[in-house]
Amino acid sequence: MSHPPVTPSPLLPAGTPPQAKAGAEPTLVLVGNANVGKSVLFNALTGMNQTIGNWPGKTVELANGTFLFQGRHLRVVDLPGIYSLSTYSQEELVAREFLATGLGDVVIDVLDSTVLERNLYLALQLRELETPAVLALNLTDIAAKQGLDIDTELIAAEMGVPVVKTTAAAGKGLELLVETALAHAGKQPAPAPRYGREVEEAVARVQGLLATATLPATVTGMPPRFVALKLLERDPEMERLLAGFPEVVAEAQSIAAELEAVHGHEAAGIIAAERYAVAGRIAAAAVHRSSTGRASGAERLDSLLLHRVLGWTALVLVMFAMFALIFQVGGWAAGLLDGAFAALEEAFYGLGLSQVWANFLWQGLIQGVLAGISVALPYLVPFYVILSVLENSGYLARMAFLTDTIMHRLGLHGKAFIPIFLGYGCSVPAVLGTRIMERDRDRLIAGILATLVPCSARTVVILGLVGAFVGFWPAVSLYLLDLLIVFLAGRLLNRHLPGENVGLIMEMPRLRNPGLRLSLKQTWFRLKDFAAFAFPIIVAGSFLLFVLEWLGWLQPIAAFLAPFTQTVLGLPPVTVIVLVFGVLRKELALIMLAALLGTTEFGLVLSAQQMYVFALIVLLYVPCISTIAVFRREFGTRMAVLVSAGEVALALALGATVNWVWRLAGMIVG
Amino acid sequence: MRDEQREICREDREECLEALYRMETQGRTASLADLMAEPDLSQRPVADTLTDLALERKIRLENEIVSLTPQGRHTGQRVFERHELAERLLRSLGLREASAHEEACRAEHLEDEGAVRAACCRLGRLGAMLDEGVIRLCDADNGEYRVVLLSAGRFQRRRLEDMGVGPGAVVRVERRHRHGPITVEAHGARLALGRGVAAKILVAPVTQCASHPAPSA
Ligand SMILES: Nc1nc2c(ncn2[C@@H]2O[C@H](COP(=O)(O)OP(=O)(O)O)[C@@H](O)[C@H]2O)c(=O)[nH]1
Repeated sequence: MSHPPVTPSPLLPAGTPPQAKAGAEPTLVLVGNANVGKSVLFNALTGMNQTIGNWPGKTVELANGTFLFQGRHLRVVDLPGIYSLSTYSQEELVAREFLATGLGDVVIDVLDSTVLERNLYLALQLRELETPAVLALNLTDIAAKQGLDIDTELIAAEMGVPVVKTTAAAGKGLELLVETALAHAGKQPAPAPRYGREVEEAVARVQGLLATATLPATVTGMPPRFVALKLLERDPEMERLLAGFPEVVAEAQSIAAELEAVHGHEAAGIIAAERYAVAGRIAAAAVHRSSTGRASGAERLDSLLLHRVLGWTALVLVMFAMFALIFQVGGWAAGLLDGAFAALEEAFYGLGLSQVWANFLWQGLIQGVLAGISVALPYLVPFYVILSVLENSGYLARMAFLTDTIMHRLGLHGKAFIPIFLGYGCSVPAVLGTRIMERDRDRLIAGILATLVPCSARTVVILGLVGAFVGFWPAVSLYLLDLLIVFLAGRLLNRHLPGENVGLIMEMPRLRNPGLRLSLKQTWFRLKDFAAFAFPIIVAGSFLLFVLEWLGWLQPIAAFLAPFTQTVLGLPPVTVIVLVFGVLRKELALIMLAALLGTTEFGLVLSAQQMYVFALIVLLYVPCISTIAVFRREFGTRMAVLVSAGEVALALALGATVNWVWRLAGMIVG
Repeated sequence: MRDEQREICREDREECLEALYRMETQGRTASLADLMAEPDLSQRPVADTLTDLALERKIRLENEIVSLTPQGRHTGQRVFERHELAERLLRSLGLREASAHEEACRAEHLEDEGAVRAACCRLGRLGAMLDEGVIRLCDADNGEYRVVLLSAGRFQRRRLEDMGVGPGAVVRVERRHRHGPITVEAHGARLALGRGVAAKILVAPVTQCASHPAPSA
């Protein structure tokens, strides 16, 4: 892996000595819709001084960084891209928790200048929080190209906070942005824009109500107008915070009901419409179109990419290229690494340690780490780079659009296509890829389905065993059987997991040049994050297996399970050992099987039926330990255990069924 | 306005159409309350199902009376015949037709009069809207429309409102895939909506919006 180029922060004057920290460093918080250039801005500010981490208990990525600005240490937090401060997705919940509890000193709201009206909707919600804020009108270069002329002073006057134009990709306007932000940090901003008379009256009444109660500290820290608006919206999180004050909540609801009776819509819908009305008014006054833009090249390309026939052709080509790239590059790099590790092993055993110690260190500890590296580096690096490129270019959204109809049949929506498709390559990136979906429920379903899809390691077993010794069509039948299982599992999960299937509601970002530098940098920080959480589990798992083997417990376990293996599954007892080790790395399963059976001519020692059943079990039983590690991280320990156990049970049950059906068929025919 | 709950499934629709068909052959007219009292439909979201059926033009809503369109009658008859066959089979196996459980449901359902009245009122409004040319966004041709109503669950409703597709918003349909998702422009931004989502957004062509004032700004 080559290190991405280290770019000095444009804001960091060369040669400035890092100063001693004087008190707490001011914290800037980046907020904004998805795809407005927040990550670019964040990276331009922080350079390499950053970490990507998770919000405690949530699978929401938070990037944290520091930089030096005019001799001062500053901290920046990049919140996930959101469209609203309601709390219907984890991202929104995390962002709101962060902002409402005053964890930052000043908020930088990044806006896409070309879609100002929609972006002002979130900005208005931020203003409801009455925190110090600056609006960064980003992507000004594209706005200029489209002939848009934007009056920043008018926006600043209307919104009550300063506005700065930026072009994050070119590093323009950032210095002024940070200066302005620092100048306003910790200062009370002008009052937020008001909405229509009826809404404001209702808000005032609820505020009066709040003033009469002694509220908990979690709520008194927030502006009363914000609390009132959220109560009128029947925001579940706010109602939870005020669970101890049922009279207040009930009274607020009756005020909301009055509002609803007048308009014939829910209060939340009315308030949303009010915000859009204000945003529309400001945008109409501030944005002037000097020339009417023609259909640009990007738009023509977009029509092609979304076309029913041409779009699908392009999609298939892109997927194919992606696969080829990940597995060509990955396979090549894995080969190199394996060679290097073999040499390393030789050198290690040549060190002259006693046999027992050498075995203990190598097989128990080092091998696990190396196995982790040879899974992670070769396949994860290209995966992360490609995913980041697809995301930043806006193509991911086009893929989701095209595949929405198919995924709908699985009870998911278009965005689930990516992780499930990636599952054919490697389950680890597939499970990590479920993050592109907003809802936990969709993430979980897609995550489970992705682990049920045969990854390349399992493909090796299917092709190397069934394909080579039983026949082409039996191998194909395994894939078809697997598709059926994925389909049924999708339907079943969709029906039985709580919550509704929300369907696809997604912004279609403009197609643009993805910028490889940013992708490489994001890859580097995500890899660091992966190493931190996956390696301990991988090492612990391989150590456990080593101890079992070292104690000589594997053969007795195989012997103990022999009745089950032989009668129920119809397999030789040693296969149990292969299956246990397969949890570590499935691509090793065939090699181990050969070692234990004493031959690679599997056709001589195993019957077609045995090979088929064995391949079926390998196909479905627990994903490898790295996958379990990422699954645990994304969905929690309980889910990881539950899903692993469920998949083992499914694999054994199906294996047994196939075994017996085959046997019965044999008896009838024979 | 319905809360987060299960989707209307095919069985709901079929049961509803079947009941309507059965009542029609018996020469009975059906109101919402009558349908809710049907044992087959107890525990099903009758009002929401009728909303969906009305939007698919399988039923007509007139003065609280629900009747089948030719299209709806066709489906209803098919389901009815299928059920009769199944029932005959079951009876020949010695199973009883109506269970005490169903009777219980029936009694329980009729108690909640307020809910029935609210649902009636909603359906009545919907009937009026349909007469005035309100359609589902997924059936709309390219062009500009004003959103009249979201008949979606709570999460979906919030999301749509936040993305600028709430009641009163003007959207322009740009691209449609048959039986698939659509792209629309709302408040200057382009959105992709799955077909199921678009089916829950009721819109009126912009020229007709005068009769459906948006929530006042
Ligand atoms: N032309 C132009 N492109 C930009 C600018 N800022 C960001 N981008 C591009 O916009 C895309 C999305 O940016 P990103 O930072 O990933 O968006 P985020 O989702 O808000 O973090 C990337 O391809 C960037 O290269 C800008 O000021 N001008």
